[in-house]
Amino acid sequence: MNSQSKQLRNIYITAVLFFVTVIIVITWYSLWRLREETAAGLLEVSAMHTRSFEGFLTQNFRLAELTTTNIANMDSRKKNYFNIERSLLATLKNNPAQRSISLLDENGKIIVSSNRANVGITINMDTFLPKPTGEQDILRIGMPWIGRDFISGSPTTHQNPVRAEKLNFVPVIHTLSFGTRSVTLLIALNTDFFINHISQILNNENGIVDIIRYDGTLLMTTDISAKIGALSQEDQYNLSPEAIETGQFLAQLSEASKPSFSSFRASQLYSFLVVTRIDRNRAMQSWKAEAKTLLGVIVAIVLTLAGLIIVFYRRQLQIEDEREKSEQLQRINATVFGSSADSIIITDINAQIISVNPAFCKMTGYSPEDIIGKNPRMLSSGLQDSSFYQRMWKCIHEKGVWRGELTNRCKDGRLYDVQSTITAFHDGQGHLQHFIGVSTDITERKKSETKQRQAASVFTNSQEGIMITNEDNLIIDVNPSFTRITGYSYNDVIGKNPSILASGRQSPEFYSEMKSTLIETGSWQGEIWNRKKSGDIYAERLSIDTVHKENGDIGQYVAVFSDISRIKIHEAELHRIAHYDPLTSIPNRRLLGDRLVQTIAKSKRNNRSLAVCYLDLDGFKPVNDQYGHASGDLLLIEVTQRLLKILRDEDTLARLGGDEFVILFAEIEKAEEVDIALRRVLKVINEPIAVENNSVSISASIGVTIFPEDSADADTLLRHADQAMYRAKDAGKNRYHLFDPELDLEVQARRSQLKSIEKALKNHEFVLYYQPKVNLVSGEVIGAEALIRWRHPVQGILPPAAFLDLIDGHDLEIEIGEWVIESVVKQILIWNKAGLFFPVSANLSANHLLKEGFSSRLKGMLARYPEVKHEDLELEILETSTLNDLDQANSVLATCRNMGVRFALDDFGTGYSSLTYFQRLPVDILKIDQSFVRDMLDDPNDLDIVESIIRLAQTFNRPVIAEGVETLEHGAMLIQLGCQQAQGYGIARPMPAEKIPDWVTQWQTTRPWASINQPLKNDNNLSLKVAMQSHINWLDSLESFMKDPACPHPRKIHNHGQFRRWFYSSGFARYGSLEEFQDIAPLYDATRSLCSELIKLVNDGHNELACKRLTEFHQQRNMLITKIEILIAKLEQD
Amino acid sequence: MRLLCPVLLVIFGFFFNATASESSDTSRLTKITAQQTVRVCIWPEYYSITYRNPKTQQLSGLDFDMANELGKDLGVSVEFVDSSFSTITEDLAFDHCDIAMFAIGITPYRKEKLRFSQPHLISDIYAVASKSNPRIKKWNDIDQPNSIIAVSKGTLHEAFMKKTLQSAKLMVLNKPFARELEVRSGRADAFMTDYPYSLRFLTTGDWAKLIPPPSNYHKTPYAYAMKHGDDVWYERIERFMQDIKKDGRLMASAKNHKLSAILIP
Repeated sequence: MNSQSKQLRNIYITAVLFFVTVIIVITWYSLWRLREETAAGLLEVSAMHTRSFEGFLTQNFRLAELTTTNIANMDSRKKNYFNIERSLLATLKNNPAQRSISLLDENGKIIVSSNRANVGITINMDTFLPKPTGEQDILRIGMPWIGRDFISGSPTTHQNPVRAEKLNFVPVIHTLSFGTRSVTLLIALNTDFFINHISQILNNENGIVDIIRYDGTLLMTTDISAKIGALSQEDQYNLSPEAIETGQFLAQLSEASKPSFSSFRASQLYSFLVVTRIDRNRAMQSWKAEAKTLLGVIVAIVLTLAGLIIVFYRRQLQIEDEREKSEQLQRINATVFGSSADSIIITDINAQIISVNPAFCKMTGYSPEDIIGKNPRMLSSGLQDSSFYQRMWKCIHEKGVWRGELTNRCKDGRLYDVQSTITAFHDGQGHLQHFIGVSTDITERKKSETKQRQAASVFTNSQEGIMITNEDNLIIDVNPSFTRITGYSYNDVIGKNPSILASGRQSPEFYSEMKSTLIETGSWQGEIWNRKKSGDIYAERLSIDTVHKENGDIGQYVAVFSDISRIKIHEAELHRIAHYDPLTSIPNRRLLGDRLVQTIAKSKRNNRSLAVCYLDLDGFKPVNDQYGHASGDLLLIEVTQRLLKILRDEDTLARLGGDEFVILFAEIEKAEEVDIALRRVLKVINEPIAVENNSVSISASIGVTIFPEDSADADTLLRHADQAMYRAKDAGKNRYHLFDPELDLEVQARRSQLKSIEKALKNHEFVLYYQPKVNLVSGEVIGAEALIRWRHPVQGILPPAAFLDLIDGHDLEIEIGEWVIESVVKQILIWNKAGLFFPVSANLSANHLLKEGFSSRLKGMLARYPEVKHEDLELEILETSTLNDLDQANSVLATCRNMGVRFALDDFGTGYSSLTYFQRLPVDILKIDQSFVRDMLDDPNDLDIVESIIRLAQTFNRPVIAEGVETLEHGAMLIQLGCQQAQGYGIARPMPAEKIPDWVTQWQTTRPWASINQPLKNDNNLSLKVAMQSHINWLDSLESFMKDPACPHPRKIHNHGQFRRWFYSSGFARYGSLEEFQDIAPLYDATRSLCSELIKLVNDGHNELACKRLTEFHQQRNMLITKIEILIAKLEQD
Repeated sequence: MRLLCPVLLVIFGFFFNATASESSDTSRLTKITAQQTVRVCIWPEYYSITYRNPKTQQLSGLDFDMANELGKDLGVSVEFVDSSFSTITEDLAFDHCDIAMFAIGITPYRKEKLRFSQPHLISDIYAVASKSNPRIKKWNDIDQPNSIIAVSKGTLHEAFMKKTLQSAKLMVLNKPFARELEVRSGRADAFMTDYPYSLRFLTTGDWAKLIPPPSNYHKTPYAYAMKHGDDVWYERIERFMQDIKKDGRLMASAKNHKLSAILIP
């Protein structure tokens, strides 16, 4: 119990005590007053009775006196006794107070009586009082008698009183004097009559009435136990009738008798007095009953009130307790209000803010002074429309509460998101009092949700498979792409080790290396062969990253991979198209070039020799003409097969076209080996070959040059071999001829040229021309490529082809390369000052890149031009095929790229390992080699290559730029293929640096790019269309040749065989499964044989005959084209 | 004496006439019908039966009501003739009235002299004493030496008390209301009466108290009395008695006079 409760209790106790005391005092006083009043009233009643009884008695005594007077008068007239007796009897009629009347003689003897029996009895008159005095006639009262009448009764004496219950009467005598004679009459007064009268008024039990003679003799009493005739003790009564006539007193007559309210009254006429004694105890009974009732009521009231007070007190205690709890709750609420992280706004019924908590101020930036009395609307961001708020208020009014998210605005204008609950607060009567808004700032949560959603979206929608494993390397999650790629469903792999995907192609060392790399660096990237659920092996590009827990322990591994099988196929396809001869499937000129370069490099390293043998078949053309192309092709294939059989693995056989082959013999230790090998070659070619059931014999003429005796570059070596081949032909065919470098003028010429180049560098004869690069869609100038020119004092401006080959591998290559880079940087500075800002690229040879200290020299050079942004310098890496040390190249590139310098892979598609380099070298952009771009409009094979490169770049998300854009048609095609960046004569020829600003202005003014039609959608069948057009063009050429044999020979023009090559290679690869494609083949074969026949006719001079078959030719042509168009239509429909 | 002679003449003349008519065969009923009056003897001191209030001189009581009913039934007026128990035999014998209707107790003695109708009331004997008299409180206190018991002359109580009392002295009174005065003045201790009288008396005499007898002490049936003979008249009266009992007039009047307790249905 706390002090307040104690205080309350004390107050209540005091109040109750005071109240009870007051009640007791009032009750006591009331009862006392009531008692006094009752006593006074009873004394009054006593006196009243006394008065009444005294009057009644006196009247009856007076009646007796009158009766006696009347009779005495009659007697005085000397009536006879009979008459007197009749008169006495008549008198008694209707007078029950008198029992008998008698006439006495002088001696007191009854002489006449109403009761004849009384006659003769003598009455002793001495006991009658008052004593006679003189002649005064007075009624005198005698001692009471016992009995009915004098005849049967006897008088009482003071000494011998008798109980009042006995029959008794009181005699009175009246003596009247008539002259000398006196008449005395005696009346027996009927005491019963009086007692009866008195008893009827005052019940004997309530009070006693005594009639007492003056001498104290008890004459009558209503107390039947009292003795009449007895003498009362005067002093007890303390009566003094002579002095006082009336009085009241409270008396107790004797020890035995009860206390009583007494009063007395003396008769006004006669010598008796009436005493009335009202029993005090009995009389006070009503007061006692009343007092009991009152006390009962008071006690009941007091108890009730005490009970009520106790109840009230307990209620007060309870209220106090509740108030205390409520206050405590309020304090808690206030603390919660103050310390809540949620913002709380309390408004009145009119939505005027009346209170905000500190969290609100922190969240919104408004101080309470700013916001109290304002409408919360001022927080509105305006992002929710009015209907939103209408709905919100409707909800609050209907349901009493609204929950939702809002975007509000801080004081500083910043937006923030909240999760709000607005509650309508009602008082106990249900009247709306306040609105309470509680808001949680969910801005960060929303951001993180968005991030999570994005992450989840990336996870779900990523085309790359994602697999997450725990620290024990057990799979805990995979995405849909994982399932799509691997064929394993989520449930298949969860809880498993990723090793279920292992194909078995990778060695255990591979995995342990992967593991150690992961541990060391936290990540691993690479390509890996895995096995699908179906058992198929596929290649994937895999990137694994370690996710660490907060404490740094390994938490999870995230593996992201893409199925690069398609890329691999692409790569292989590209590789095959680009590097292999479609007919014989042996390397073509391009691959030969690569191999030659590699073999030269290898020979240099190994100090071994290599032989380049240029081989031309003798007598092939007649076979071709005689048996047709198909037979010629079969012959070529047969020759190839025979040669491959006799060559070693390290040797290379390539077909340059037609009947021209090149054989590279690598790793030659002695010149004799070449001789042996070539003899074997000649021998296998000489063996008869079956062509269309005929056996034909052909031979070969071979030109040979041997490196390093002939220390030329690859192209020169080939040329030397070619020259030697012609010598062999000239010498009679079916033989080989060895090139003699010492006899070659070129070698001397090269030496003198190198000197003049060195001189030119010193004399500043080299200049840089710049060719702009643009975005064909936006028209934006995105850069320029620096191209070196030699301003020759004699020969004028020379292109790089005229001198760069000479310095390949020479120190001059590095010197010129560095001069180029520095010149470009200087030029960037100049253009920047002129307001031109775009990256400028310089060509960088592989030798230059791998030259020791390249990156530091570049860094130093860039440091000399601090104004130039490093990002504006782009280096295009040439001759990637010679980057034999990829790791070194990688690290140099990484260093330079860290400086901000950008790298491009130049002439992409030509080098043997372009794709490998592209994947493994950190370059920023691809440049499609101009040779593919230039011919892509005519040659579907080149178009396929361009398309593949672009798709490859898209797959790896790298920018790609096309070189050799000679016309806007090229540009349109590129856009259609998905390449927007372009460079070439169709846009601008290389020009001196000072002309660039004007060109840019002019380019942007004339907007030539705007005329290029934007493709509506990607056309996936461009190569098919190009192939068809190419074939149409060739057929048109054939028709012209038929009409006029002076026209170029169809077999000599560039597009000869393009369609056939495309049809059987990439065309077949793409559409081989389609029925429509398969339908083309017989028509094409028919057309081809028709064309062969027509060409033969023209060749044989029968061009008129040929022209006659023009209709047939046209029909055939149209049918073929229709078939192709059906295929196109079918494809486009799909 | 001069005055006495014509009076005697009238009396005897009347008596003669009456005797003469009596001797004839015509019923009293015929005469009553002819004279359009029926003469009914009553005791005017008989509380609740035939009581004449001395202050108003108005009659009231059960038998007063029944006499009037009889008059109505007979279609004649009613003439009330004062009588008493001591004189009723003579009053009927001398044809002072046609019938006595004041609850006359049927006693063997009276049966010899009078012809009674069927009884309509039955009452026991009661004593009345002064309230303040401590000596008489119960019935047995009555017959004590020195006690004086008052009765009215001619009443059945007189005859009964004469037989019954052994110690007490009997005071026979023949004056109106004498019994009450004697008891009240203390000259007598109690008087004897019946239920109807005592009932009404106690309501006015506040000085008196009723001393009831032991149960069924001496119950006497009350009826109307006629002279012997004249069966027609008697039958008519019997029919009347049946009528008033049957049609509820007796009961209604008895209720009115608080006599239902002693009614004979």
